[in-house]
Amino acid sequence: MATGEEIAQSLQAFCESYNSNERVKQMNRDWHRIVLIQPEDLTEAFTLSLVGEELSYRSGTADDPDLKVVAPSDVLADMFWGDLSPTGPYMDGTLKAFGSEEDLVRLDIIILLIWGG
Amino acid sequence: MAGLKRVLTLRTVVATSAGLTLASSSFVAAAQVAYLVAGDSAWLAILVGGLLCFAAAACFSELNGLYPSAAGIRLYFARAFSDRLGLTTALLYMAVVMSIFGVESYVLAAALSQVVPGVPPIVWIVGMVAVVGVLNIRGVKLAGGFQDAVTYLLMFSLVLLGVLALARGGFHLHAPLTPGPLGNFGQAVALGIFLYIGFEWVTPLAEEVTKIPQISRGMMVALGILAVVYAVFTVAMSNVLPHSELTSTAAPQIVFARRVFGFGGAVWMLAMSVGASITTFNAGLIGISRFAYASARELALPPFLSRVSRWFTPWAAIVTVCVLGLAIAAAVLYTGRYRVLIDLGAAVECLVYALAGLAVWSLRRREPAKDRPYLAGRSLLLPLVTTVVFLALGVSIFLTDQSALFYLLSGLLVTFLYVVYVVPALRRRYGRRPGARRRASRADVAENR
Repeated sequence: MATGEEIAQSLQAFCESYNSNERVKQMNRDWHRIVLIQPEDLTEAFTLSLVGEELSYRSGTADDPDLKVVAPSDVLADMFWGDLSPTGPYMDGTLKAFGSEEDLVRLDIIILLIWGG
Repeated sequence: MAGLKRVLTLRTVVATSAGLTLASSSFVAAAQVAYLVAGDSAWLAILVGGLLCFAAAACFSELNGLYPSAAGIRLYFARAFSDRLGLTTALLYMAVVMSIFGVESYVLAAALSQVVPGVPPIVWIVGMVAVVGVLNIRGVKLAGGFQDAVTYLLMFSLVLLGVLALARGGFHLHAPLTPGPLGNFGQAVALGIFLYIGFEWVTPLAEEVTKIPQISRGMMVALGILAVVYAVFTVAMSNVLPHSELTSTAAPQIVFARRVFGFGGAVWMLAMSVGASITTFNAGLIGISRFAYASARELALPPFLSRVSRWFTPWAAIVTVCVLGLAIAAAVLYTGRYRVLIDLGAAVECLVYALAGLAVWSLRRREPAKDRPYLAGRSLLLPLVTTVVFLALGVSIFLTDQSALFYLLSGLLVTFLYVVYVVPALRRRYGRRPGARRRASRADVAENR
């Protein structure tokens, strides 16, 4: 189990890597989304916002997200650090994602482009 | 679930389920069903097939409620049986769907060649696959409204053409209630399952709806509508065309429409076939390429398939699926053996539905406390009946088509060996080393302090 602080650190690292990756930002320039990150074993939640070209995160929920990702805190921290491909936990049912399938695929691809395979 | 910005309506769920199922190759299967039974009694086999699919749909609804994920059978069977079985079945299923992709392009090319002669079928096939492939790589999405409109227009047209054709003959049906020998009827029911192939592909939409039971309702409504549409159209075909003519062409729907309504009817039917194929191609290509991409990401397929384009689409997977689909279509065109792939498709579908029933039973035993928004009956009767009936139907297909059995067993063996030997090797070679972790472990943090 990861702590909320660890998830926040992973999201921080993810956002920094995204914002310094000009290629990914360019590819993503028309994609503006709010993603709710919900660790299933913690009470706190996080919100990733891609507005303009900047990706940011904050602690707390979003009322009207485009995507919702629910998984054990460990999985989420590893995933946003790039230590774990989201596909594995998604395929074995550990990670649940709600929203348009295209958006889910794009989120996975962003993680792939930022952290590699 | 917290409200999402975009959610799908029941109308779209029904259209998606029916649209994935309605394809040009469905007409070939419908003609084969009509050929197997006496007189105009094909509707009986089609309705019985539809009813059995209701049972399978109930099982899929329970599984989908447990795991609302686009991973579908890959996830259900892994949880119910083992990861190996889940992966083996999913890979085999995708290979068979890719074969149907080849059959579909062959059948559509045959339909186009009947109305627009002079253009070799291979040109149509290459053209269609190339167009759909490029659109998918560029990430051009068929608008949901367009897909809905094509599906509903297609279903309405098929019923209308069927009723008009029957009206011309004064609704004089030949032996509509006497399908003939039981063995033939059983085979017709089994083949009729092909008509419904893909209705369960709507389960990935579970992530895009707010109420999971909406997927179940959508599947059931789609099955009901499809059963009526197919029944009316197939009876009309068998009423108008002699039985010997039903299976002598890869485009019986065009022959039927031309016979009843002349060249205009053939053109209208061709337009419907193109619409049906486009939606099926598009959905099929999206589904298979995303599955290939996801499998490559979890190192179940070679990692090059996870390469993505600047439009955020898995281009390597799309190109690979197109090339393989093209190769299958060319092989079908060269050998003319498209019926064996239809039989194979129906048999694998029967196998998957039988496993779905078993998976419901297994998961009720393994995860009894897990929340189930939908139950396939309170007892295990329906899931077990689904398993037994679909296994029997699968066997009945093999009784008349041993080559389909040979292909299935070969495919199962190759896929199983691949999962047992190649997948672990891929994971050993390309998997991330534990030492390469970026996230500091608790032990590291404590040590640094």
